[in-house]
Amino acid sequence: MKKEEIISLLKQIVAPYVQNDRAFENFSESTDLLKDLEINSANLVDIILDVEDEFNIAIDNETMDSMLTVKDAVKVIELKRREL
Amino acid sequence: MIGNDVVDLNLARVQSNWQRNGFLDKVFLTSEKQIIQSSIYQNLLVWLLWSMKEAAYKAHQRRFLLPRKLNWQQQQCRLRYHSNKSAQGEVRIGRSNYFTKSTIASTHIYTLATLDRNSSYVSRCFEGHPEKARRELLIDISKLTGSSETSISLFKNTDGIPLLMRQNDVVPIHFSLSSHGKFSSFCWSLTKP
Repeated sequence: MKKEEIISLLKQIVAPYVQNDRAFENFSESTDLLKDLEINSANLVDIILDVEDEFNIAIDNETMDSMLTVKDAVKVIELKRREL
Repeated sequence: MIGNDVVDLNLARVQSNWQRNGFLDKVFLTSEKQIIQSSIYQNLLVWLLWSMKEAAYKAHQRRFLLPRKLNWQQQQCRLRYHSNKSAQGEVRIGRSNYFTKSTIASTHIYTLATLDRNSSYVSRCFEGHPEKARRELLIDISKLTGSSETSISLFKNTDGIPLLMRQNDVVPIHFSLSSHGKFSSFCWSLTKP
């Protein structure tokens, strides 16, 4: 799966939880889920679960630890998909 | 060191479905899930323990100048006491232990976490905009430091940790802000860590 495809899917996954539309319009690798998109921290759990479902991967605690930016999330997805 | 967290229960009900498959497993340790599952007030306990973790991690983050992390499983909650109006407990993070005090209402849960069990602090949670909490905090701090209200401001560092500034100096008072839905809160500590 290409990185662009992952980013596009990720954007769809986070969409329902976004509380800053302007930041969402500028969605890129550097986008921070909490600081930029103003996603409620409890919804980060939902995003992790949604990512696991969408990409058919399991994200362990240590890995999920630093999943705060789009770049981080893409790295985790790529890593976990390679392990499949 | 101090941290706080407020949960607007009505908003949480709309925003989050904690009954969702896998949700509790991501956030809570086995001992915590046992506390939740053995209670008839499961919804309340989920958000109580959640707010304890958030409040404690905020204090921990400020203490060690750490970046924000999604490490709920590294924060172990113990409830010493809880009723349907209040709770007291502890959250262990690494080798640190934070004491928590929570107020529980049908509309919201508010938790305060301190490093020192006998901390002196000011803590306020109310129905209002986060701007009001920030303003009241700045008024308190300006009175405490004998400065004009306009000389104190809030600034966030690269880890997202807010700091109080008076002109170009950091005001060495520990504080925390939290808002969710209709509720906002602030707290500040009178005790040195």
